[in-house]
This record gives sequence, C-alpha cells and structure tokens, in this order.
Amino acid sequence: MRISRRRLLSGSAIIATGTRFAIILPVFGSRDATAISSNEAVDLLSWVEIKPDNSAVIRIPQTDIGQGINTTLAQIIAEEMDLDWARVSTKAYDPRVNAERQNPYIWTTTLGSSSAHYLYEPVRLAAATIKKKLISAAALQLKVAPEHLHADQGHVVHAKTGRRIPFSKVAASAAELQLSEQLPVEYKPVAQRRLIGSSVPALELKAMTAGEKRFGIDVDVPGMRFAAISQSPVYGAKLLKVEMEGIRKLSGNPSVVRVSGKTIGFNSPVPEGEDPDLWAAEVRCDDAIAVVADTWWQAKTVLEGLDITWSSSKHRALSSEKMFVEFAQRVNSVLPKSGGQGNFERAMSRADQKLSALYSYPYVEAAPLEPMNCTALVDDNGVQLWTNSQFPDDAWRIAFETTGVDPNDVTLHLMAAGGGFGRRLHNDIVYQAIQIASQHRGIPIKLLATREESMKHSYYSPLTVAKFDAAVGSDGTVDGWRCRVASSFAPDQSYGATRLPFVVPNTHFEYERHMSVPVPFGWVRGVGFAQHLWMNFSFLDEIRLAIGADAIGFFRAHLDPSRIPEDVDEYDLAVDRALRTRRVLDYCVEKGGWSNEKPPGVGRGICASDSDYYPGFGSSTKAAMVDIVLDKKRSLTVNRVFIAIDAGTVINPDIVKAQLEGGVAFALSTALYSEISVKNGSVEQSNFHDYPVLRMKKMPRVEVAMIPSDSTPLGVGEDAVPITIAALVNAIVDAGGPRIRRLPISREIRLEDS
Amino acid sequence: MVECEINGESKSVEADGATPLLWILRDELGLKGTKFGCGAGLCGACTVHVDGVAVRSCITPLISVSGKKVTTIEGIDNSGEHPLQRHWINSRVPQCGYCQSGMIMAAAALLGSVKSPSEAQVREEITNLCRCGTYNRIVEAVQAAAKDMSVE
Repeated sequence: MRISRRRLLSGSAIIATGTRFAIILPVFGSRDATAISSNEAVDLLSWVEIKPDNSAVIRIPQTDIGQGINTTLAQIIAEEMDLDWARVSTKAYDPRVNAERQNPYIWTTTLGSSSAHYLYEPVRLAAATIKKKLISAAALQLKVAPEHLHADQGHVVHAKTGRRIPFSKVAASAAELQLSEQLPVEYKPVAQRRLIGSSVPALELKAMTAGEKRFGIDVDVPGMRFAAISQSPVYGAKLLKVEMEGIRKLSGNPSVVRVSGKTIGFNSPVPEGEDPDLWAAEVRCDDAIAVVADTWWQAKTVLEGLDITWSSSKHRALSSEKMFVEFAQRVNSVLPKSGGQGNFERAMSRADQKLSALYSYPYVEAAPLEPMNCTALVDDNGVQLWTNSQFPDDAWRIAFETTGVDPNDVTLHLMAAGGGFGRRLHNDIVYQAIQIASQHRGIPIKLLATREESMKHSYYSPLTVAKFDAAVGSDGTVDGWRCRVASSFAPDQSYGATRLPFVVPNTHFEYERHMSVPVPFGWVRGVGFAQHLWMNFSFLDEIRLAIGADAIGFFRAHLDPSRIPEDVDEYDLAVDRALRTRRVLDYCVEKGGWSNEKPPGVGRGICASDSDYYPGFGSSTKAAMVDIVLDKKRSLTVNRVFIAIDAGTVINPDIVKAQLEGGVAFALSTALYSEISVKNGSVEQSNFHDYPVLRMKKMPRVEVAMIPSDSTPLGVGEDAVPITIAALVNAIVDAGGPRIRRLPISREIRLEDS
Repeated sequence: MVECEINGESKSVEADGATPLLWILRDELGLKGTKFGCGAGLCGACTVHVDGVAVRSCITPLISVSGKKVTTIEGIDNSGEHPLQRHWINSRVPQCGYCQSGMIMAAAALLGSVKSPSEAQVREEITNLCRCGTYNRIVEAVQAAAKDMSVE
C-alpha cells in the first residue's frame, strides 16, 4: 500500500480545521438558566457556578494528573471574568452532563499535552461571554448603559457612583439573558492581565502537603467492599477453573468473580467517519479473576492463595528478544507502507558518502505512582463510577454499555490521579470494576490493582526497530534519508519517524506494524517522538561526526528553509517550522551556554524539535542541552539539563517549568532504565526493583528559559521527554562514550547504584 | 487486638496482626494521606514514623507497632504548618501530590537525625520515588526547612 503524504498527514485536516471534538465554539445552550432563586448556585454556560456567597466554582473538563490543569484553566476563566482569585475553586466536569448539553466542554480527554492549546480560546470566549452577561444584567438592574459598567474582583462596578454589585446578585438574571444580544465579546487586553502569565500557586498546593488531597484510591463510599484482581498470566490464556472450596472459611467474607476479557474500545477519541487506526489503538484485556472481601488486604490475600487453572495460549512462547531479532531482519527489506518526498534513490546515487545504522526501542511502561483503581456501584438507580480515567467520556460509555442501563442513569465522579502519563487513557480497570460491581448489586466495590498487576498488565509504548540510510551530498549536508520501521502492535505512529524536525530534501519512509502481537499498546508520555526523535538525532549526529562538522553549524544548516522543496505539502508550515526550530536552537545555544568550557570527561549534547504529529498540531518548540560526565570507570552522571522553549502564551510559568522538570525526570528514567521485556508470553517485570525509575540522587540540575510570546498556548506536558533523550545520547558520544543505538542506556553503561 | 498510639491518640485495632500498617491506617482509621505505591517497600509513598523513625508502612505488620507511637502526615503538625510543609508550599514542590506525604515524612525523619543535611545527603538519604520529577524542589524545601528549624 502506498500512502500519500496527504494521508500520512491527514490528521492535520481534521484537528486543525475544526474537528468534531476540538475547536468549535462552545455550544452555549439554553441550559444555563438552572437557578430557581438566588439562594442557589447559578450555573453560567456550564463552565462557572456563582454561589450565593459570591464565590465561584469553575468546571474542569480534564483529569488532574499533576499537570496543574485545575489551576491553569481557572486562571484563564478568572482572568477573563474578573473573578476574585481568592474565592475561586474548581470541580470536575461530568461526562453525562457534557453529553446531555452537546459537548459544551469541547475537549475532555487528557491526551497529547493539548488542554491549554485546545481549550484556551473556547474558555476565554465562554468567560468573556459570561462577564458580558453579568454586566448586561447589572445594567438592566441599575438602569444604566452597560458601557458605564465594568467588572472587578467578582463585582460589577459603576465607575461614576462607585457602586459595586456582587456577581451573585445578578447571576440569576444574567443566566436568563438571551445570548444573541451578547455577542460579540471583547477580551481583556494583554497589558491588563493579572492572572494569565502569573505563577499563582496551584489551587491544591496546601492540601497536597497535608495529605488532604483525595485521589481515586482514596474514595470512601458507605458500605463499600474491596476487590483485588489477577489477569491471565500469559497473553491470551483463558480462565478454565478456579478451586472455590474452603474459600468461605477465610476471613473477610470473600467471594470470587470471573471477569471476562475482551476489546473494550479505543484509547483515545476517534472523530466520526475517521479511520480508528490512524487515531487510536484498541484497548484489550484478558480474562481475570477477582476476589471481593471486607478489606482490600483480605481480598488480595485470598486471591494470592487461589488455585486457578488457565488454558494454554498461542502466545505462550512470545518473546520480546525474538521480536527485536525478527524486526531487525524485517527492516532490511521493503516494508508495506511508505511515504516521503523527493527522490531518495537519486540522492543515494549521487552521494559523496553513505551511512547506515540500526536503532531500537523497548516496550516502556508509564508506571504512574498511584496503582490502577476504580470504584463502582451498580444498583436499581443505575451506575455510579469513581475513577481518575484520562478518558472519562469513554469510561461513562463503558459503564452503560456493559450494564445496559440508560446512559442518563450513569454518574461519573472524576477523581484526581496520582500521575497518569497516558496510562489512564486505557479504561481496562473501569470495565473490570463494573463487571465486579454488576455481580454485587447494591454494594460499592473499590477495585484496586497491586503494583505487580498494574505493571504486568499495562499498555506499553511499542517495541520498535528502525533502520536508517543516509546520503550525504557534496555540500556536506544530508541529501537523502530513508527510515524503515518495524514495530509491535500500535496505532499509526509513523509520525515519530516521518516528522523529521530538520530539513532533508529527499526522504523515504517505510513501516510495518505487527498487529498480531498481543502486547497492548499505550500512549506513554512523549509518545511517538519519545521513540523516534533520539534515533533521528543520534543518526544525524553520526553523520556529522563522519564528515567532521561542527554540531551547531551542521544542525543549523539543516534548518535552512531554502532547502525545503517547494512542492512539499504545507510548504509554508514547513518553512515556519524550520525557522521556529532554528530560533529556539539559537536561544538554547546562547542562554544555555553551549560554548562554555567543558571540564575533562564532560560531554554535551543538544537537540531542538517540536512534537507536531502533523503540521500545525500545536506542540511547543523546544531545545534541550544536556551535560554529562562519564568517568574513568565509564560510570554515567547527568549533571545539567537546560531547556529553551517557545510555548506560546504561558498561562502559569511555574507550572510550565515544573512540567519541563518532570519531563526531564521521565526522559532520564526512560533513557537510563526503562525496559519491559516479554518472555514465555508474560511481562517479566513486576515492581520498581526490576523496573527502576529515576531517584532523587540521579536528578540533574534543570534550568528553563521561556521565549516570550503572545500566541495561542502550545503543548508542554510531554515535551521535555523526547528532546532530553536525544540530547543525552549525543552527549554520551561527546564524552567519549559509546553510540547508543538501543535503549535503555543501562544495557551498555554502568549507572552506579541506580 | 493491637494497641498503639496513632498521631497522639491511643488506638485499639481489631485486625489480623500480619496486616500491613498501611491498610490499617487507610481503611480502618481513615487516614488516607498515607499512600500505596508498590506494596514492597520500594517507593516510599507509604512512609510514616514509628517511634520517630521513618518506616515503609506497606511492609510493616500491624503487630510490630504494638505499644509504639505512629505518626502519619495528618499528625506531623497540628496546625499543618510544619516547616517542611511551609517550605513545600514556598518551593511549590508537588505536581500530582501522590508521593508527597511520604516525601515529607521521610524528610522529617532525616531532619530528626541530621540537623542541616548537605544537598548530597538529602539526595542520598531520601530514596522515595516521585514519578512526576519534583526531586530538585524537594531538596530545596528540605534545606530551607532545616535552616528554619535550626533557628527556631
């Protein structure tokens, strides 16, 4: 199958031009007038509730996974509405309400580091419209022209008389106002902003230091019982028999529940009429056994003692090491899907120099610190769910489809998550909890997976092998680039390989995904760029060293827009991309001190890129500079990571900085340690002893420089991950270490007491 | 029946003595600030103090704290203004916040034995895991709190 560039890029057509789930103006229905009297909170456009005491509750249509979304969205709304920040709190959205009101929340999946980018304009519009309504309502009440009123700190103010009316006094009548009279709205000028651009402390900060923040695992429902679960140890094995005898005598009044495995949906929204394969991966889970008991410890203890018989499986010999070998052979010949630009073969035929290399990337697990959990109650009233899913709309769908109850009778309580990193987009635990609760009608069931269960039955970034070939032209730049990719089961992730963040006139990409591999795919922080960017940059660095060029000069030469063929798709965006990347690279070189002297043993690497899966996706452009030390015993220490970023409008600089620091830590865990291996059809790792993550001792200094900008906010959450890995592998070579062509680095380099 | 003191109150807990303290705290006593991360003493999200020493409550059997004093994040300071908590706020340490109770308890135990630890000591001694990557801010907050506490 020949895939045209247009098809490879077809995502852009959908999200960029107004996807069905992205940017359309909020559907401001007539539902906002829910107040009966001013003794109740008044709901304005589904986004804000004004309470009788004039405090405001802002609805957050995203899952709090530590990215600070409650604070940043509240900042935007409070800014544009002129709320009193000290009187603002937040509340999670409800998927049922979102569906009933025809998606007023616009973008509800916590995915792709895209919340600020997708929601910024709609949320400002909603807030500015609400403010206009409040002012109009006050104008009617005061019998003055609205032009003579303005909003300030939760009040409508009549400047001439100094009268201040709390929003709560006009909210009910504002909610009744017809919208058509209200548009167009005006936004607050940038110079007058007090909240957007300000590092206000996260709203939950104090609660988080007092042990008071409540996560999914902390849900407490009266009468609740607990469940522990164990999925088939080998992929694809079916549950045959459980020995139940003697169970009743054990403490905790245990009962055993069979949970059937199946494909329960996708791991991200698929726009209507689109090819799911391009957008998402199927979420599959195997058969499982659960035990319900009075306490979780009892449930877990009984479960561990059960005598369970599983069937044999066709995957019983599945091995990731064999996959590496097999995929490495596959990439030596033509693969079924292809794309590219120009003429790679011609570039090869006229090349001054040719290079080739093989790179690979293992399965990686997100491993958020809060193990997977979900609480469910199925009774005569319907279903209640308490979950910290990153894809709550889908969790809600699973609840009514699995139980057959009316969607209107399913209520989802969205909880905070102890980290997400993509793992909680997969609603396997929701499906399992509902199955268990359905067999215990009337009793709330808290299903909690052990760390071992969470790690062995997760959703992994795909094992990937890539073969690179390059043709270097007589001018010392790369004229032709070919990359062949073979990967485990995955959605169409070719973008990570094809979206080179540097200019090569002639490219050819081929790829093949092994869809019969049963290891489930997951979006993991950094996604396709985490797998491919370091490979691309490392191979580019190999070419540079082969011809003896200077790093920055060589890289800049590949960001020269005049080298972009004029017939490429989205030519203007390609030119803009090269210029932006070069600007951020230069900023990083200057501010990060690229030219500063390096002590002996220190290696330095640099990388600049966006994470745009297609032109105009909306990620930030950023550069990382990494300093490492490789001592005489070849023991590696990462000393410093410097990040320069163009993230558009920065709503909360400290939260952006924290996300980048976190991205560096995630990158180093991934690059240094992370590998999930499969042997005899099972994941071998089970906990943090055999799947280590970065410790405090190994965390380098992180510095961040943001390029000032007034444009739409761009994605930040995952963005430090790919660039940091890429700069790190080149820094190792710079220090005299080996060229890393397979992660994790701990396979090749000693990492003292990790 | 196991008797112990939890956050200054005497408690009699009716449970199998082999049950890890973590589950007693969370599910019997409703002290949800202490978190479950690994169940194997590897991540430190469940760190509490037993007679002033930091322990990982997920691998500490209830019976082993019989007659002892247990302190959790809820009991570290009645006002919620322990110097560590104040500096955790000043340095804006938490991202998701899940590991932070354990981090603060580990840091408090460290400051109990080393009055003003060096940066290297903090990094060496606190082995709890944070998947969000808040480590550098933790170091900053611990050292700032140590300074305050030596003045007080």
